[in-house]
Amino acid sequence: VRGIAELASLVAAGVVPVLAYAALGLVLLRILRLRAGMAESLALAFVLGSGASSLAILALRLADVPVPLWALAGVAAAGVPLARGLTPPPRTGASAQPPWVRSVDAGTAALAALTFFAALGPETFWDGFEYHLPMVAAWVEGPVRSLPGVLDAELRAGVDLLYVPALTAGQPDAAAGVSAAFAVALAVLIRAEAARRSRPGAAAFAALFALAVPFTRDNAPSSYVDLGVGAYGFLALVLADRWNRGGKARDLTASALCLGFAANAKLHAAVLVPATALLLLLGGRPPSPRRLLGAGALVLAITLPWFAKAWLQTGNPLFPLLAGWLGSGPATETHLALRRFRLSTDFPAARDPLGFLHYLASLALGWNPHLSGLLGPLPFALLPAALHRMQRATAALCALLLALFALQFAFMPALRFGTPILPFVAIGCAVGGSRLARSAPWARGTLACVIALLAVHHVTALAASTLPRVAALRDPGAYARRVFPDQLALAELVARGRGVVAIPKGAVLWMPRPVYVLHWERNGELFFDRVLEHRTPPDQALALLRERGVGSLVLELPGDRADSALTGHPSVDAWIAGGDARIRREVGPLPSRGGRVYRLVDLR
Amino acid sequence: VTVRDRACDSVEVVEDERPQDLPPLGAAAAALLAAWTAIVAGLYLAVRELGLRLLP
Repeated sequence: VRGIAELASLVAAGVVPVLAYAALGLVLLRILRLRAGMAESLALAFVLGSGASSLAILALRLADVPVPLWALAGVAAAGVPLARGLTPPPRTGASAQPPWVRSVDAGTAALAALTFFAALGPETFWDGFEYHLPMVAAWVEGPVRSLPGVLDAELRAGVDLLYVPALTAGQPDAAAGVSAAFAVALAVLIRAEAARRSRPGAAAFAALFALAVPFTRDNAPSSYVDLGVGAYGFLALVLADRWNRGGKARDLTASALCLGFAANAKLHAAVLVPATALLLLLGGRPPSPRRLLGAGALVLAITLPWFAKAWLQTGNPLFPLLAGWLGSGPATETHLALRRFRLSTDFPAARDPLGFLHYLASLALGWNPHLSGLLGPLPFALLPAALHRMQRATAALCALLLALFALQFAFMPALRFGTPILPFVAIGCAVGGSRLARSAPWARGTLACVIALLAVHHVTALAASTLPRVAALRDPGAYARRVFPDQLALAELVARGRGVVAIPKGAVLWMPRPVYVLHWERNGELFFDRVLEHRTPPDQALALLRERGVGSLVLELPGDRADSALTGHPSVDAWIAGGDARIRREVGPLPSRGGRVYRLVDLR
Repeated sequence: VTVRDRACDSVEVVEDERPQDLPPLGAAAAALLAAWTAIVAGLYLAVRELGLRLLP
């Protein structure tokens, strides 16, 4: 149970990095001469500043220079005068805001605070405790480097590095504060952009729903990095569209910055580079070749450190892409190919028009639980009304967004991989909702009823999900035991193991000693269990595990095998038969999930 | 609109932030869209709150 001082440390480890990144972003805003309203400026500052801070942290941690919280507090303090100096541009002709809009904005602010504090709760989100935070923990203990048996350590990790200060401060739970800050920044940016394209009331609701829908509710309190990727990608496209409409060079420069940050956070976001180039070329104001090349050079310069890191560590600057030509580094080509293929299996339906309709329905209604959340019904209700006479720039933007969405459906259907385009969905809802509300009093009444009902539903669900996490700030252990009792059983067996302990998969962050994850997607080098026709032969698997220092394994077995002399796993049973392994009968078995049990096996 | 940018002490053009003039829908389209909105939202609430299963 945390005392007041520990709670204060936790909150500081969550708040200070966010403020420091925003402070650096305020400097960037000044250099770029980007101006906006106060809230939008701060959101822009956080997003831009986080991208720049991530590169600074990469440089520091490559050289094993620590990033202590007090140093970031100094950076944050230096940003205060800059924040005070923010002067919003005069609004010309902006329509007056009805008084109720302020109430909606106040509700959004309350949800933002709730989301942020919920993010400081224990990390109980799967990818978060399995590799995002453990990877950063390793890069806090030593420099940024390859981690044998951890494939994700070779991928881009621009947002992951923003968690370094929280882990340096010994507060891993505070890391997700950055993710929540991205969610809040996105809501603010949606609010501002939707107000430009629709009405203040519609924009206020777009921001409220952007924070309250299940997708954000499930991602914001975790240390998943997708909201960060979404913020960079969304801003890159918004700023490119702004160039198309206004022709200001600073928007093009800022767009290039965001593209670089997006690719640094997840390499698949690099698809936005050609996409943005297309948007610029087709949006009605094609930049001169010199200007376009300049923007491209800026993207290259920003992404160069990660290309260099990948090249030095894997021999392939584009790792994990083009592994057949440029090399697969520590992973096998088969692992990389299967990982790419696996991304497409998140939505197990045919890639045809009927499958697409099924996919849309799953995003609206939540039929498919593997999509990392859902959007709710409003986009599917209101987006059609957003399509009307468009300026050329907007038409080009919409066409590009549709193409990106089609690519997502075909190759990476999990909703969280589409974060750069989702904010446009919220803006489209604001436009469509505005038109419907303006059409007739009864249409406005219907929309008001629907919005009220959905708002109550979403906010209630958000509160039910996040309030226990806020309550868990004092006693995180009790919450973790309630959410993942099986992972605590796993940790108990790991504590009894020898050397590095191999585990099927799980809460690596919670384990009391070094672990090796046997799941093929995580280690990138071993097919311990069969995947399609692939399984590493027992001798090779044993040699690899010994090379990784593995002394024990925890296996997850069917309940009826709890007391069996063999495990039922062909490789382990072969090792037992050959005298290379033995089941630790004096330990366990302990319960896993779904009636299965964990058993400890020692290697000899 | 030309204003003096105090932060940078230079003169620049500030974007006109006036919201776009969105044309209202025709009566038939509005009726259709309002009904569609109510149906989709109702389905969503039925699935999420009442556990309605529309697909296996």
